[in-house]
Amino acid sequence: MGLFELARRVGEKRLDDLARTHARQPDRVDTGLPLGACIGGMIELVLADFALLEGSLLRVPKTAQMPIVAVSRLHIDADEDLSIFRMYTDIGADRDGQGSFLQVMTGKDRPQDIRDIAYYQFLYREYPVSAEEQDAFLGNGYGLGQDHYGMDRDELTQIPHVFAGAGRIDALLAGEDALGYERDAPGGSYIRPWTGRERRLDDGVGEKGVEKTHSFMQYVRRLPAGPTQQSGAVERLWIDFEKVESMDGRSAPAVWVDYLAGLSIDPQHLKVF
Amino acid sequence: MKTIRFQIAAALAAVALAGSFVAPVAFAKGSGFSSSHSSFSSSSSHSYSSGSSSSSYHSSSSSSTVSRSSGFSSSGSSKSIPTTALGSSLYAAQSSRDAAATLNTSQSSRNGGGSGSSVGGSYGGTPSYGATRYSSPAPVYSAPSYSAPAPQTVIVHQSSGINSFLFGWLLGHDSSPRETVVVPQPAAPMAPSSNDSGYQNSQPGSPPVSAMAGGSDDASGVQAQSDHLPSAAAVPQATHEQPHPFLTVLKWIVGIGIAGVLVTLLHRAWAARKARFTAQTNYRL
Repeated sequence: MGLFELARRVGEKRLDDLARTHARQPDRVDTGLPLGACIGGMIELVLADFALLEGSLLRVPKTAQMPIVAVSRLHIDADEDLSIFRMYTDIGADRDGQGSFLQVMTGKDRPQDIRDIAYYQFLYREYPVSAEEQDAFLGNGYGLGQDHYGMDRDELTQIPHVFAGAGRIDALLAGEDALGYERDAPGGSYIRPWTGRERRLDDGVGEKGVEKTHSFMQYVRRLPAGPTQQSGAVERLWIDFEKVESMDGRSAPAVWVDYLAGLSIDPQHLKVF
Repeated sequence: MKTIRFQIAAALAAVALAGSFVAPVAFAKGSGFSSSHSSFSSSSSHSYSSGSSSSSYHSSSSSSTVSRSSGFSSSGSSKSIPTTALGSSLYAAQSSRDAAATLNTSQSSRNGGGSGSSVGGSYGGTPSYGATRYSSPAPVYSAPSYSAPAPQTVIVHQSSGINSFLFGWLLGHDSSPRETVVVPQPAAPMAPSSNDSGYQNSQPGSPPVSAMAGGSDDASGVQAQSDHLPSAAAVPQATHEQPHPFLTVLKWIVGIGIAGVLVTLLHRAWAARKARFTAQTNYRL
């Protein structure tokens, strides 16, 4: 390395240090969330709420306290003012959303007016490749939006933590052919799925994140009552046709169908700090 | 109860599709979509799988009867679990939106004739308006502007800067001293009044009156020329001694321009270096 090259590199390094010092950092954009949540905060759940579930697809979270690694807001096409926020405690190994999150619905422009809280866990993912396969999720009069959904053995085997447990599937099915869910919405035998857009922030300033559209419907089923319960809890099944548009500011087209299980959370059993 | 219904639906659907060209597996496991609103016969004719639509939705295609229970179905039975706040809110939002869209559609279809005619009227008016506006200015604009070639503007500029363009002013100002000022200069040195009048008076045969008259005329002419002489002679000297004001301005402009370019390049380089360490906001809630 010549003297000139050495001087050039030292100069570059000094200039980089100076530029790093003077570089302006944008303001945080993960603000205005309900419960005072932000990236880097913590969510504390009562694990007993999960441990006491009978025949649920949900796992008991590993720890009661989980860090918030990402936040997002769902903008529902039918009502832009409907405030649905998500606080992700896990976004998957490749930040592809195969994780878990706390979803909070609040009143319009009133983050403290909490209407619904639920904790969702990713179950499995399917990739509808052909147009015919995708049509079933896009509000064409059949498929997603029909008033019942049955999850059979083949689908249960795609859920890693269910498939791993010996005899777990048989226990879940309890002699039935499938787990039966009913649509979590009134209406006739079919209604169009809900559609919306989600912007997920994976850091506080919004440099990293994901933007995708959703076509989704929620189904519910009542779990068997536990030994100390009069009636079982209601398990949610969120079936979501997702189209990823961009990731980290760059185009990243992808389409898949996610199946997530959820459980309603009592606000008294939740802490966000 | 639910199990019985599922099993009956599965069996009937499998029977109904057994003779069709669509493989039972494709329907059964396929997407699992089915609709059995009120009667099973209608459900099978629906064949939401619509032939091939559901043929490859589920990756695995195992036994048909078991997998038939998978997927979406419509039973039309009443809900046994109360709708959550999330579900009811989403339903209300979408239903109200659909209702509003229906209302707008029906209203527009009712008022369709009136609005159509009004639109047609408005479109009918515009062409005549546009025609009158575009007809007049076009000929006026084209004729005179391109008739005079560019070099002649230099000559026109000698009459004191009517043309305000920098280039035209530059050429006109640069060439005018040589053409109009320098060329008349050789006539000026014969202006010295005393020598000239004496020489004319010493010429033989010249009538004194007329000589006097002519002399006086010449004197006045020479005097007039001598009045112009100092100013005319001073101009070339001034151009030799100090740079022309235009050149001075040009130098300033070039200097400022170079400085501006340098500052801009430095600023851009610094901004680019800072941008490497600056996070940008790609997403907002």
